[in-house]
Amino acid sequence: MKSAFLNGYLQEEIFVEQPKGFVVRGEEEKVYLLKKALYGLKQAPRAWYSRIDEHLLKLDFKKSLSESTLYFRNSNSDYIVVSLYVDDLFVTGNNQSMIDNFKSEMMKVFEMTDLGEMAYFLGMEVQQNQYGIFICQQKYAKEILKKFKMEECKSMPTPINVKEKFCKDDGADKVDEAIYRSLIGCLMYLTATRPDIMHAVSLLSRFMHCASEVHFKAAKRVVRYIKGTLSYGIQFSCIENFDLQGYADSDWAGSCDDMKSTSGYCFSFGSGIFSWCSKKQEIIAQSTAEAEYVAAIAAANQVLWLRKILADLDMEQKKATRVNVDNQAAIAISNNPIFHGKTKHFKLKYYFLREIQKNEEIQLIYCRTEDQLADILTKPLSKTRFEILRNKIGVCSKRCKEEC
Amino acid sequence: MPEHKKPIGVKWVYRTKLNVDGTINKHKARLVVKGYAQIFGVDFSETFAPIARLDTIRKLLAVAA
Repeated sequence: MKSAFLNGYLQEEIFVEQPKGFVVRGEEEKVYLLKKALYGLKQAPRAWYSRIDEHLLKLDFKKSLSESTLYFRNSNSDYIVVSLYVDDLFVTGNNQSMIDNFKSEMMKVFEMTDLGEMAYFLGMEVQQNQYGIFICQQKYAKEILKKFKMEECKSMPTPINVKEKFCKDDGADKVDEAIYRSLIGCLMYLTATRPDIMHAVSLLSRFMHCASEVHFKAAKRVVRYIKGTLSYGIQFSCIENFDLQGYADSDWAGSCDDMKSTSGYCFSFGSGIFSWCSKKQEIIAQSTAEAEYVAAIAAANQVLWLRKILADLDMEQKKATRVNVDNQAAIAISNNPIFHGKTKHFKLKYYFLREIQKNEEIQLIYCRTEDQLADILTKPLSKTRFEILRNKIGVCSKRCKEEC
Repeated sequence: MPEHKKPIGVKWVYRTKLNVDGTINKHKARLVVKGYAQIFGVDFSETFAPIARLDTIRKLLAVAA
């Protein structure tokens, strides 16, 4: 979309000075009243959104209630989906003529360029082939190496050392926070296609305000891991039935500073994962079961949201979404109020999991710790285990994607 | 122009867009408003940017595969 923001109509009354070089002689005192938005205005993106929203609704699109940038239109078995990212439109569907039609309808009203088959979107490199779709950020990863002058560094097999623990005041010398923050920020963006470094980056980002040599060294180790896995990304394979499945896991009191645990979850249709999270819990769990239960709740909230969007896309999940948990006690708590002694301190909101289990939206099922994919999002792992899980969540190299 | 309103400054932004090989593609000029001079409640009230969650985008890709 070209100069998208100029399309938005303003509701507020805004006056601007005459632009330099275009001042009308003799009327220098006069100002302009804006009808449409200009770049730089605080409300410009909003005005643009109202405009495109109105236009898409006029074209008979429906807006997803759970994601206000997602639009869809069905007719019989054909569908078209539009995802809006400010001024980038990502269009997909199962009927080429419907898509072409949409494009020409849009071009009548807005000035835009058709970039054809998606190859590059939001910094993600997208490759479509007979096996499915592969996304990666190889170019961006190389830029990180260059930015931090680590192009020649030695690579590492895993992003984080298994034995190492981090805390706020480790006694080591403090480092320049600006550089540390910038590095973590860069790595954070890379997690868009690299769930394998999600845990390491999220862990290190807890020390943004007190970065020491130890933290900086660990962050550089992540970069060294990236160096050896530049071409890695996620492979989404072609699949027949879109059954959402999830994994939820937690570590146990992993944070030395406040003894809080870390939740992790991920979701897939059986091939590459597309939704994941690794986050320190808000409460201090008093047992492993409680920590796992809290992680399951986080996953449950995500399940509800994902199911709503899938329903919008006409892929309603008929059965309850199965979420794998490797802790029997956590599953028992979610089923049965009988564990009162151990759960009486649980906050009310954590009981909501029981309710949605009853509504058959989610079902916690037991899996062995070896099969717990979300393990990679909650704790540092050994090389062998890390590589197995990395492969299972769909992260692989550009070259070997055929085998995945 | 009403008494209580102040005009907001504008400026020209010039950019040189390069091709992949480093040659000059085009010279671009855009007029922008100095948005930092806007006052909440006077010049604007609600703001919002339509940004899709990455989860959604990746999900669409997983479905499209």
